Amino acid sequence: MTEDDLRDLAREIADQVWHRGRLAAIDDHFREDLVAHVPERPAVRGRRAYRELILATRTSFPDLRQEVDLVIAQSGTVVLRSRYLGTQRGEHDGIPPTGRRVEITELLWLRFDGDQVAELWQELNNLTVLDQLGVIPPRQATEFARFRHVLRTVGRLAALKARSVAAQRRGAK
Amino acid sequence: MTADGVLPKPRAEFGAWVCEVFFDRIWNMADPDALDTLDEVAAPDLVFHIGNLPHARTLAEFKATVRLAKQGQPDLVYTANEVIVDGNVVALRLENVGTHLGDFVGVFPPTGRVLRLTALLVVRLDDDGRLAEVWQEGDFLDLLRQAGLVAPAGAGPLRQVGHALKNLVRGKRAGRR
Repeated sequence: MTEDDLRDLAREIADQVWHRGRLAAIDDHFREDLVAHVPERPAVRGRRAYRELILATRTSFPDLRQEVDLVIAQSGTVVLRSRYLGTQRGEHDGIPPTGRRVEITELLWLRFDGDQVAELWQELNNLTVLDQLGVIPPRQATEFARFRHVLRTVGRLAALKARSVAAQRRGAK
Repeated sequence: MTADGVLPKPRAEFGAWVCEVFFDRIWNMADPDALDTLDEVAAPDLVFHIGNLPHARTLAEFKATVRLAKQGQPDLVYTANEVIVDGNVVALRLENVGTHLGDFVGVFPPTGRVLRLTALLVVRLDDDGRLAEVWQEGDFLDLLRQAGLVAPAGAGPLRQVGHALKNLVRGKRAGRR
């Protein structure tokens, strides 16, 4: 594939998989033995495991949208610079649904084998996600202020968790 | 190293050039003053976008951030695993490793732990090869977790509080030294 083709293909994959969350598109565009290096966990091995990861992300942030700002390519590799926007409606990183809006920037490195992604590296700063969910104490705060923030956060998360469990029970009835 | 000697650069050399700037000028641990030569290769309106850190946008702010990182991990080593070039844009796939021997981000007292981070870097150059815009992303939260400064993912309330107490005590001890 030429670099122009690769850039177009990467935009198409971004639109289908990360912007719209169409899990079926993963089978078309990723190798079965895909390796995905993503933050906060060991390498995700295999298309099926990657599908589960995308599903989990969409469950936490059902309205997730991706805006691609830059696509560059050279000899089988594509790098995308993007922004994501979404509202936390499900549990994320052990945090019960907060209903807060999150915006995050990402760089993504895709290694293609023909017209399929064989390996990918996703980099983003999860600290900014937790910051926007209000669970990380400000870095410049004193030790004691940080400690108080954790106590307050634990209380707040417990209340959110109770609310989320109650909502699930109502939904189950 | 003067501006006259290094610029302008032919496009074919953009990849090697960005590596040289990154390793010899920015992350040169042996010669901390090399960081100041970044001015020679910066476009006048150079902007940084570092992992959503809004306080590291200008050249001066970026240099302050780099100095802080070097203080926190004085033996920091960056490695480029891959480099690609598309027109006037260069992308690097990076990893770094360093021991937490100084105040981390100027705040967290040393833990002596070895911290590893992977990162991606995208640099847009102007026609002369000057740095015009820089983006870097890496999972800073993972670094704080490796240092034990933030509780692990999914930690329960008890563990969160225990963790916070431990850091409170550690911080107070460091403050007394």
